[in-house]
Amino acid sequence: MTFHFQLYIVGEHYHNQVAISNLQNLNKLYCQNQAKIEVIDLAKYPEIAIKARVMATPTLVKVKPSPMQRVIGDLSDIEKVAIRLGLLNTHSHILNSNSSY
Amino acid sequence: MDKLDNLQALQKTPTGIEGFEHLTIGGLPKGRTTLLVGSSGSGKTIFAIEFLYRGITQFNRSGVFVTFEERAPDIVRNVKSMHWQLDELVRQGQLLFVDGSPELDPVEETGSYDLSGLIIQIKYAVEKVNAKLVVLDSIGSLFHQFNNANIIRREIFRITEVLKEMNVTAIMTAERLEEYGPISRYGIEEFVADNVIVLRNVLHQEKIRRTIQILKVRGSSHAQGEFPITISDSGIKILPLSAIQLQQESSDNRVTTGNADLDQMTSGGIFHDSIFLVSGPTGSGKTLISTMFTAAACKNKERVLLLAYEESRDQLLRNARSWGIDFEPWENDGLLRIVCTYPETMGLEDHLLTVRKEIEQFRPHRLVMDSISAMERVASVRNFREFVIGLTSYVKKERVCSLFTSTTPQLSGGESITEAHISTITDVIALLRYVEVRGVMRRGIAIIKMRGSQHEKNVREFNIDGQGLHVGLPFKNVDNIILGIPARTTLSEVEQLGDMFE
Repeated sequence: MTFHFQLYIVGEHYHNQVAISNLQNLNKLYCQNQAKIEVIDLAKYPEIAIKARVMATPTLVKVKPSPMQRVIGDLSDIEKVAIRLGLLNTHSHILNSNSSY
Repeated sequence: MDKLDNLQALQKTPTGIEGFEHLTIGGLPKGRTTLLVGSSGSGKTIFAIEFLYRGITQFNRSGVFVTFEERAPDIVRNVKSMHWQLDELVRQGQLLFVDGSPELDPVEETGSYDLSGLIIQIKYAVEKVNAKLVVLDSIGSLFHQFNNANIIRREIFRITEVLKEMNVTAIMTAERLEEYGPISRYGIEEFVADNVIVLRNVLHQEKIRRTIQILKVRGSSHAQGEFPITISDSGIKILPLSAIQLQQESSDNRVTTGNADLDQMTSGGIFHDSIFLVSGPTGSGKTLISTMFTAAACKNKERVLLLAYEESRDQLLRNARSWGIDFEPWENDGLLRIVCTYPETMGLEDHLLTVRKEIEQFRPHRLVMDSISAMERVASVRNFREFVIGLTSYVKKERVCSLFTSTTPQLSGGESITEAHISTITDVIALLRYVEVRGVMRRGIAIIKMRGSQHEKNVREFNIDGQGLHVGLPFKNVDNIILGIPARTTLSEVEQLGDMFE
């Protein structure tokens, strides 16, 4: 399974840093650190904001596996994000539930 | 303290929306955001689009339309019927859409966020087309797209600050639930508080009544109260009422009323830019006077617009023929235009619009409206008053010499609603009354008012025959004719009174 995430941010706001670190944790917990992660600063690429229709930042877009899905905010509830993006049904979910025993 | 120096008074940006500059004394505050609130269907989006469209096409200012509800293609399509080619403006680089309409899938939120992405999009679009005008429609929709209302409030405030920094004149629309309740849903006005305009769409006595109210404009004066508006295929029109300035020049040129006797009573005819009201009960000769008025103008090669609200064209022609006047040749020569409509066919705002359109197209020297009181029956008193004021101020501005007839409800006379609302605006008023003298019905006419001129003060008797109208001698020894309760004073009483002052 290949994972590809895009995280849209604007500038240096602290919630951008929180989102990046939460995304890295998500990658570790649910994607075996295999995900491709792009962090895109819209302040530098405003055309992308229009094209991708990003209003809220941070916005996380799961590009792969399909379907494409979005979550907005600093991703503070990692498990909720994982459920929303359908990441719990994978191998990592079993690992995760084993570890809780 | 430097910042307080060199501050200038707020400038205005004209909108091009008909009548709006009158109300706001120049337009919207330049470089500021104005909140436009209204219930659904009150015309917010049309107003906002027209603001952009006219700004671009009439004042050569580029614009950005940020939509949070409809998709851009739908907006472009919706105003095609008004012949506003927004897609053309986009192609020419004068208009840019920012699409903030909702995603099909609900978007999950977790933790803190802001709307910097949207702000980046707006900034980018404004810079790209060098926009001076921005519309955000509708801002309330953001509260449906995002769950955290506190964040959205803060971000809307931030958007207005960004717009101010970019020195663009902006309209933000927001919905309200009740016509006369809280200003807007979610209390948006509390943080975009400088300028608020309210559009209303009220069902009043079975008629839809659309109005606009300038609630507040910081640092500037504006017209108070609600003003009726119409929305048609040429956009929004705000009907000028008290806001219209009586700036027309008056003139000394007199025109004939079409009847030598009436000309004599008015000391030589009425002024060519005046409004002449003829009021009387049914059958008293109003249509005859308006027919003579029309004929006199056509004989002078002046164009006349005749608006009939009670009779059909055939009836009008037949009536005129019975007095030896043939309308048809004048119609064929383009001197006369007869428009017959029943008052019930549309609301008064639309009637007013139709009359204005006719005047704009036909450019008449004279206007005859027979009768204006027919309009009373399709509207509320307030609505009717607005119609009358809107109409008279328009014909005054266009300097169309106008004759209105008004039917009084009682045979003997008495006051009608029309008289009450129109009399202060008209320049000449003639009252026609039935007078019962010794068991015989006779007709009386009086000029009770004529601005800027002397006029006959007596109540005179008049007759109608196949040749028209003939004014005779003043009534002697009859009082209170005008009030509709004629009473004969006895000869002895007259003699007594005469004695008293000798």
